[in-house]
Amino acid sequence: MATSFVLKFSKSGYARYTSHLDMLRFFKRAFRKSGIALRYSQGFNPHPRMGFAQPLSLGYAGANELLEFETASEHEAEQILRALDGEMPEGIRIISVQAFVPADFHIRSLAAATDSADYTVLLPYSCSQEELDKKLAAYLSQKEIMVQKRRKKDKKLVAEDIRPKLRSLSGRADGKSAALTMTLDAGSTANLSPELVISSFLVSAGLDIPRYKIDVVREQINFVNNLQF
Amino acid sequence: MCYDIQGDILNKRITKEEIEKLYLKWKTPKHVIAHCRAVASVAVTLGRELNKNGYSLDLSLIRGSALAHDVARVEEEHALKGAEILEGLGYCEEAAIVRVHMTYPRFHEKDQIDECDLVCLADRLVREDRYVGLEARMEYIMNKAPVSEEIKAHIMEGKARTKSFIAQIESVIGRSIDSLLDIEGRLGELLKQVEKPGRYIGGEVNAVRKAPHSVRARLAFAFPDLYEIGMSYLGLQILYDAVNKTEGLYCERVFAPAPDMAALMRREGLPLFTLETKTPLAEMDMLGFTLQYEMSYTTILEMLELAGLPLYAKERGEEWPVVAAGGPCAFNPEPLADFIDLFLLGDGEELLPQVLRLLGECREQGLSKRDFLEKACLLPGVYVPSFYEPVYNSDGTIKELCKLYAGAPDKVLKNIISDLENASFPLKPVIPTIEAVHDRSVTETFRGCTRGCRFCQAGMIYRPVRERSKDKILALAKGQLEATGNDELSLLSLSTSDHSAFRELTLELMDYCKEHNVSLSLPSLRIDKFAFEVLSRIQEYKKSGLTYAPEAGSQRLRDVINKGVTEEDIYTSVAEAIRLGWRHIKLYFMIGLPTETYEDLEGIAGIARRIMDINHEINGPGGGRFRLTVSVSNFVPKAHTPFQWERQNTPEEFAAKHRYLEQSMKIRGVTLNYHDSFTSVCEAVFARGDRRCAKALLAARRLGCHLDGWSEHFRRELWEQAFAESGIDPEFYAFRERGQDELLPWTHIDCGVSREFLLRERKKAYAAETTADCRHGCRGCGINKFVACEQEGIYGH
Repeated sequence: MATSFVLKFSKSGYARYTSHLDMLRFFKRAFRKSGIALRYSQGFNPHPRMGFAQPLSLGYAGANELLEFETASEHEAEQILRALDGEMPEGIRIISVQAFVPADFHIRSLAAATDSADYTVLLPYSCSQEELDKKLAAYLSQKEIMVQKRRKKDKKLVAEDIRPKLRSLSGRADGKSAALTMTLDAGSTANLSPELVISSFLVSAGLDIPRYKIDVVREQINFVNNLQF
Repeated sequence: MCYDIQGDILNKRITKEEIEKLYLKWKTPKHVIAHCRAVASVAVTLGRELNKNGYSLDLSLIRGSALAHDVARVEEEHALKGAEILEGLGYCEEAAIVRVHMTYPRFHEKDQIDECDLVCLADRLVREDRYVGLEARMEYIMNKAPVSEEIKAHIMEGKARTKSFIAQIESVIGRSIDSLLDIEGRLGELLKQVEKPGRYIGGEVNAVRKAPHSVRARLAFAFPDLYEIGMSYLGLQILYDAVNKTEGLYCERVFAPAPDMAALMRREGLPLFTLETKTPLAEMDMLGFTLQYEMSYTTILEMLELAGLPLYAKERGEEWPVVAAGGPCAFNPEPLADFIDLFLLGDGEELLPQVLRLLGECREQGLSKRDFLEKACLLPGVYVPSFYEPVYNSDGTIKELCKLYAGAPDKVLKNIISDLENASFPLKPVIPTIEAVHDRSVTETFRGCTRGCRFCQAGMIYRPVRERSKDKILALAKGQLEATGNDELSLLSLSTSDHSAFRELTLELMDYCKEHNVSLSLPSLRIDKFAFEVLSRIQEYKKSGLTYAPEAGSQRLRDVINKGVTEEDIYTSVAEAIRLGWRHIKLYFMIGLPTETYEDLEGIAGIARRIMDINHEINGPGGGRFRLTVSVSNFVPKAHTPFQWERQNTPEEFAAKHRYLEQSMKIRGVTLNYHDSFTSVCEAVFARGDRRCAKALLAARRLGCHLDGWSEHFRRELWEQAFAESGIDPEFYAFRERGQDELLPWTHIDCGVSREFLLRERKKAYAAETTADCRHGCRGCGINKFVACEQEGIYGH
């Protein structure tokens, strides 16, 4: 029995076109419907203590997404899983629910402990493995990878070197398409959006592939202290 | 060829019903049946597209032979065997196609494409029960079993021939076959390029999934506005639930795509599709539009365009779905008569499934669309416009309405559900993925209104008042809240406080909602003492605005429109509200009402000033942070009301009145809002228009009008051009007073309220005489000729 949990779910198919805010609304409703009361924050405008480890961009699939939440009373993880399982729309599947107390691991929350994330990027790019390796090597060998990024605070475009935040990048080609696997900084201290890697790689490789032909899956979120779910 | 004794070619086609029997008799396996249905749907879609481009392919032959092509799949030489079976039944042309489908040697050239070509092509594009395209299908065949080089070469040759045939078809239809048939494969790319892609994905909690081929009739419920608007509409949820509850029927949903998605669909040639199964609308048995607002009409045309359907009903042959429409605007259906096959009038939760069942039966028996319409028009509430034709006088008014089909009723009476208590109501409404305008549970407490405001169409066409019992409402509300996890509940009716058990109902709901952390919202609440008790409890923290709708600025004019509100009522209530801490009051008025003078307008300003004074009296000279919003709308005369003969103000008159109000309402703390007057003119034209107005709609659509109910999309200059081009003069339709004996375009549509009653009410209006609520006794509107009025006289005389 516990009051603090982590729920692991996948988001695929058309559900990937559901936005972050709509997902929050959706889970809030699913909890209400299942009869599992969430703990609410105190204050003038109370809201349920529930949040995603990391927001997932609109259009991305997620293989192992994480939602942390606190319940008003004690529950078994298994019971929560059963109660929520029937409430999911097409494309959202609950993988597991487990009790988890952030303080036990000396962290405030999963969101605060997020360190990096693994992504797979599917490109409709027909090439040999050799060719792909060559392009990736050329891309990675750059001392710095400068991109234009819109700054949040004043919406100004600024140049930024993303190379230090790109932890690993490799690819597989089957002749018809290419799948890039990458691990990028994620979280509040340093964060790199796969969009910047995709666009700068396409430029570096001299590829002209429209963005809408590319699919992205977030495979996993990684945390400090080697926390795993 | 088969000949009968006289030697004429028999054009009898095998029906769906007969094919079902064959499947049973020849033990066709389920997955083979599914394959046949998929091939039929692909082949018919291709045929339909070719016919749109000048071909005249027999789609029943295509459908029949495709459905039957693998009927003998478990027999040896199944193609030959299948052909024999069909021949034995006299279906020789179907047999000829089935015979060759395994060994089809070559497709015809572009100008000679025939039914057999399409069935054989479709068979090569479908794997199991899905369209996969040529490449995937060939890959599957090559990998299915080890084949010799020789056979491989043969297959490749066949593939090349098929490929060139596909190219020929594509050059005729001007789009790729993939875009037409592989919506799921293409949609992802589009969704990545548009705003709010969640509008187009379906798959919501409580959305209904059925196997499309297992049902007898499929309906696409079409809402001519964006997803987030349509999903807030209770009528959609009621009908979706009622149809899907019926075995053998499947209701899916489609909404108007936003301009970005619509443009992309046009560019990519992707047809409009249903959310549930992503099926192109052209493959449905019926499209059903809901008519909530005149300004959605151009969007209906745009949706038909995007679906690839011919706009005019008469141009849609057997191959196209039946296009139906219902809802309040169907009570003057004439401006849409040329585009719609049948209208459903009145309560739909029983009628719609009934009409769909009939359509399914007719389709199975191989009956024509005409046969279906002839049967359908006998059902109460069904109006088939093509069975009638108006004849006009030289002055443009209607001379008479000719009946073109003797079996059609002279007058179409709306369908009435007398027992609302036991009528179908959704306990598990579809929960929108993206936030809808109203994201809440809604329970309908009663239908109809007895107050008799003379401008109000809803008050006339939804008669009589039919209530659900308090216990039923509580059960429905609780059921919905439990099934949805909603945290807001709203009651729906035309006048919330008028429910006969309103007090008890509200008190019980308040307790329930409080206990379950649900916020309760009570729209169109009459603000009296009890309302304050209720509001002070349920709106403890959010004292948002309080709304009053006096509708007119003087007692005289309020008597004219029979709005039973006195200024004293309002002032007493406003004072109480201010004392209780409300800081924002909203007032609704209408201008351009019959007999209105500038004195009445001055009355509006007078009420505003008086309310500000009341606030000063209570909150001191500073007045606190009190705000008053006055919203003024333009009167649009509506069909089936006592004001249906009245003229509407011209945009110039409206503009002058707006200016006057602006001048007289320069009061600190008062905000004045008013509506665009040209939008009101368009509403007025179509609210009381006749069939000729279709030309204006079409012209407006051709000029690019759509989503006209959104001020950011409404384009006055295009509408002015459309009226000019089509010769539809707003002067005639909007600004002209109708003679009392003039034949109105909706004379043959009967909402149950008599013309005599409307005339009587009109006369009383001019004499500024009021008519009391019929809960104090019957006022003789005529509806009780058709159904008992349970609420009549319940308050005593």
